[in-house]
Amino acid sequence: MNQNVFFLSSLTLSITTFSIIIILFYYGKESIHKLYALQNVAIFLWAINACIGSQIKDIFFTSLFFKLACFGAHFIPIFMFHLSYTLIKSRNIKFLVFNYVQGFIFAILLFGTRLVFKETYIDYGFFWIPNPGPLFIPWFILWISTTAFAHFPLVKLYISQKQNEKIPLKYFLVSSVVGFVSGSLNFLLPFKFTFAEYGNFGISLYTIILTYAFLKHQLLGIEIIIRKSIFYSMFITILTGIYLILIILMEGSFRGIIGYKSVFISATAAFVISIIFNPLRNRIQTLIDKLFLRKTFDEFARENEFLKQELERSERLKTASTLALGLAHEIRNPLTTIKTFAEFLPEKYSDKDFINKFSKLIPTEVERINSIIHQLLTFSKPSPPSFKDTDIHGLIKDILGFLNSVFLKKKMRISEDYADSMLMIRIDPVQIKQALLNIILNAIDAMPNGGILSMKTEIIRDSCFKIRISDTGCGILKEDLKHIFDPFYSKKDEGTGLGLAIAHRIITNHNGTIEAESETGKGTTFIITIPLTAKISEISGE
Amino acid sequence: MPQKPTILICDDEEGIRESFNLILKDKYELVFAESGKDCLKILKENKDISLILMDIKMPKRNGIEITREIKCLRPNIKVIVVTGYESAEIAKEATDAGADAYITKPFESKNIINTIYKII
Repeated sequence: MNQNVFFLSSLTLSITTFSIIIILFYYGKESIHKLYALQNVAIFLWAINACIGSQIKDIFFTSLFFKLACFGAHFIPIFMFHLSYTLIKSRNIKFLVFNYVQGFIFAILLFGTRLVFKETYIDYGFFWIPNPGPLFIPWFILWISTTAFAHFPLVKLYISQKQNEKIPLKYFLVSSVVGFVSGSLNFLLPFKFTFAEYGNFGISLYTIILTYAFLKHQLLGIEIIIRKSIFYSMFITILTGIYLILIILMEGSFRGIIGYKSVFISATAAFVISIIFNPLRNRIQTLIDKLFLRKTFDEFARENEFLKQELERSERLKTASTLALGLAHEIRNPLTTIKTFAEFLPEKYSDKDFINKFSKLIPTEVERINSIIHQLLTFSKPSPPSFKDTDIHGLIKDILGFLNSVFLKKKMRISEDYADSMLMIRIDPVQIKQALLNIILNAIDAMPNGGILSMKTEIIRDSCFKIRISDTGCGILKEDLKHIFDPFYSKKDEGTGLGLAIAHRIITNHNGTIEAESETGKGTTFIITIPLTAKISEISGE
Repeated sequence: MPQKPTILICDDEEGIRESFNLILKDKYELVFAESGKDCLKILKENKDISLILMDIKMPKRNGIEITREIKCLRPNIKVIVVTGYESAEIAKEATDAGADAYITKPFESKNIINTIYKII
């Protein structure tokens, strides 16, 4: 086996890109991920064929592998072009079509003619390189031009960006310069510039810098994918190195023992090592996941938890502010009455009319403040639900019975459509009664001139209980609908605006959901869903 | 004896209307409205009204909307917005709507009298 700089640099590059390709195709969801993967396919094609080509001296195979390698190399800037136009969200199709057309024309010239490479070879000691044909230099110019065109929109974007936004693109551009300059060194190989062999290390550097940019600055939003791929690439590279060294050592020592070089010994050594290679690789993979990636996921989990807490805190502050504003208004009105009447009491003590109003208004206003405080306490610190198996339809009928006189007075008709069974569900009957009552009272207020109140229940897939409470009232405006469960949000003539907020809190505490649909002038429907967490006992309705 | 100026009190709460009645009835002619709609109706019928004490939170149409409408219809009428909300944004909204003054509840009777005196 011939080890040389060109072989090692190509091998490193193949492993890195191969790992990135597999993971990007597997996990990448967006078109930008696929394009970056395609660019890596092109780099891989270059690297793997250069790697194999650097191990053989054969007229047919050297030509084939170097042509395949150059085919890959040619498509690196082409995919880069597509990637950068997608990054800047350009819709200019003409450039893209031209880009791919020139790519395929080159492929025909490369494989079908001797214009790019001749069928004579330069001896590099361990391997051959085909001699450049008449189109080799024009190809190099075309390659460089495509590279420049691919970077042009990115440079333009970079210039127009604000200082603090520039960093991710800066990495992209710097790594590109390193990668493409190093890559272009390979064009000097047919001219016997030996330092050109180091070019592929530069391309590896390009992948590393870009990967760093992806990791640190979340350039394509694929940091976790890349994070995985770089760890795996690293350990595959290390293992491959160990594998190669072991084969060479074994071959050397066997040759020392038996005295001649044998392919059989190398093959046996490779076979033995490959048997232990796979389980070892799996163990190391698990270890890497455990050591590095678990920490990463923990970090993500911690970060998510922190963000969730921040969000909850900000929501709590928003609710507190709405509460404070609403509370101030609700309490200041009765306080004004109490304060003014108290102020005039010594002066108007003997005024009968004043005393009548005083005795009528002041107790009412004090009771109002008390009621607001009671509701506020229920809302802000609800007692934990005390779950009991409850006949939910019986509970609904109780509420309707309790409100019967109100329905008669308001000329309201009730429509009932219940799921076809007596259903026991595990809820806090007192709290659910309060929630349903608040919603029904809301429906009553929406129909001052009478109407139909519909109660409908159903069981969804044996897992949820759904109640629909509909009225044929005035409906709720679209802009108000999203606020109806906010505390103190009320457009009604009476009430504090806490009723629906309390209903919402109760249903949420039962792990349920409550939502409202409304059409102005036609009515509103509240849809409550409560999970059937405990066992359902169904008894035939008969 | 000169005629007492007429003040329209627009508030949906009886307690507040009665409080204003206690404070102002000796000095001013008082007219009461229970809603914005009522207020606009009274304003059309009664041309003597020189000042309105306007609540903000009222059913259907709020005091700020009504103030804006009044200032378009009869820009000479003075409007004092009276509210339980103590917020700079609401005060600004009221001023933008054309209100001449802004008083927060619970108010001092002296404060009400002085403000009205300054404006009329």
